[in-house]
Amino acid sequence: MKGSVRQSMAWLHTWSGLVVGWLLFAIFLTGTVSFYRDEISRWMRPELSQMTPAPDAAAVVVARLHAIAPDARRWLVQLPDGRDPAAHVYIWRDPGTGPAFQRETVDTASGMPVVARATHGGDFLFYFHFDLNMPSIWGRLIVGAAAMVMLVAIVSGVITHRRIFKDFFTFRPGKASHRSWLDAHNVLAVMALPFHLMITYTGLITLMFLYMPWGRDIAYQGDRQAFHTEAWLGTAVPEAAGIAAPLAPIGPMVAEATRRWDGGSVGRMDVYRPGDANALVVLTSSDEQQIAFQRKQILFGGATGAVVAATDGSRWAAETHGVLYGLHVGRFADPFVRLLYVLSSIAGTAMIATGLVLWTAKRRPVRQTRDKPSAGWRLVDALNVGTIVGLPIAMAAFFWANRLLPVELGGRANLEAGCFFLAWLLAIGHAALRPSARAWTEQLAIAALLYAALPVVNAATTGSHLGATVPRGDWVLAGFDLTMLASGLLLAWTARHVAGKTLGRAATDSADRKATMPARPRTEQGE
Amino acid sequence: MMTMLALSLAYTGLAGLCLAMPRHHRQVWPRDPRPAARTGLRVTGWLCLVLSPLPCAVVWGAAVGTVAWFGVLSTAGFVLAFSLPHAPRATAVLGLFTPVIAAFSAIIATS
Repeated sequence: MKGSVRQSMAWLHTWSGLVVGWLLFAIFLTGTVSFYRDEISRWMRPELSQMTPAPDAAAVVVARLHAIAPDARRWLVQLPDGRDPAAHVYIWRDPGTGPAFQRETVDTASGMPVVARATHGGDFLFYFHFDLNMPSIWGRLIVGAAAMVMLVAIVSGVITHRRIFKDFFTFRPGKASHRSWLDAHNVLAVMALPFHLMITYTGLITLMFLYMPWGRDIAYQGDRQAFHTEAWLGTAVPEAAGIAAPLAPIGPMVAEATRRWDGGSVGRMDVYRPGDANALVVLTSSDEQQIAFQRKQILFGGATGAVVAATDGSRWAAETHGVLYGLHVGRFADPFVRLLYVLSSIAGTAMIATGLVLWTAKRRPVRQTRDKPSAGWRLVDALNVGTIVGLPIAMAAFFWANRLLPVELGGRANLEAGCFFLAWLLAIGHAALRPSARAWTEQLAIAALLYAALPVVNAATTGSHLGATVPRGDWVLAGFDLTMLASGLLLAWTARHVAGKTLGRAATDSADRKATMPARPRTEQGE
Repeated sequence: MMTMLALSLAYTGLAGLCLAMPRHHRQVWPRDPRPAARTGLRVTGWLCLVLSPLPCAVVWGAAVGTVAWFGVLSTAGFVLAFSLPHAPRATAVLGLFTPVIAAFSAIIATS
């Protein structure tokens, strides 16, 4: 670091951005697609494609649970909503009374479980977004550290940007390569700056008790359960009384909750100790009506059906946490606001990608065919290709595996994830072995093919293809296929564009050779 | 329709501020803006930007509307900045017509 504040900040921005850039790109891209986690999960389980939730879904599910797990310790039910027509039940049992944990997807129209192929669905990309598929808490710690560096990069980037208002709208695609990359990087960053700051900061908030547990631990003397109970749930989870008492009907409880929430719907239902005199029912509001992820809750005595407690909204700290958390995950968003989220999030992803490419564009050997690039430049460039194009290839491979792996194959959910990592590894290997320009165009072409052909693969392997989903107006499934097609076309256009650029550069090189012109300066100072 | 009104107000607002700058004015018209034109573009731009959160508040309420407004602004900004060098005339003309059309559609939709 040297010179003025601005130069120091430029140094900090360049190198902090480079070191975690690839990781941040992966976090941003998987985070972006996680806004459509439910939709991806639905596409990856084509068996669930036609389902209409029943109006009394809660009662139907409770009847099903009484049949399969009357003596469980806890039932948790995710009720159907606008984005997911199925109910998901999770069952925990005390030791010695059956399987400790069990899950099932229930069609509320029939009250029966639905059998779908084994897949992690959109959850795989969602979890990868913050734990990198790593065991224990290591992935989360790494992601947290990267997010901190992202904040540093954002702030130092703003300070570095000398003409932030003058260049507010400036994009010059025809200029020298590193100029237009810098313009694109600036526009992508500045236009959605509030979003980038918000999403990075609130991302840290989602795991704040992992990153900074000390305040909580001191205030509650290490009693995490007490903290959780006070912050998020009005009363403690009950012990079993050992006296059998049938569970009161769920319908009136749902009606009471809906009344208290001014028509807001019940999204989640927790039943502790069903069939016991101490049973407790917790109804949680669905997340579509408010920003805060901290949702409204009402507790009912399970045996009596009477209200025991309700969240009163007076817990300001918990409410603040809920709003920040909610802003990050965007579950409150209707389809249009979700699209705005995704657009800004794509801009964030592209901002990181353009930043990484800019690093190489500014340091590119002047005459590409003659000057040999340094080992460092090669490494950065190969990782750029292997991540910026390689990760989309890996995601496409994940979707292909979902359709092509036999449905009855054992452990197929993990095999799908394996295909994701294998494809990514192959992409990085390919990028390391091929010359820069070829690596970019070849991988872009492969990615274009993988995405554009995905609707075809879907049509060949399932009945829920565009020919069926568009006529019946199933825009979740049709939208997925159409998005894949559009991504494929965009990648194909990019591949063509990059191929044209590199051909042009090769032509300049040969002209250079004939004229034996003096070499241009390698980089410009003062960016 | 209200969402389109918000988007087009944000777009026209940003386009006004953008075209008031000599550099971008020259991208569309062959000369620097006259002082009166500059002021006019600026005032129109700020006016549209100030109005653009209102439709968001109508559709989503104050809380979600604020979040949506930031998204609307960013989206409009991206469209403007990335299409200006490719089709300068069309980008500028779009800024003139969209809010008028969106306002009419919104009035028809609500009446």
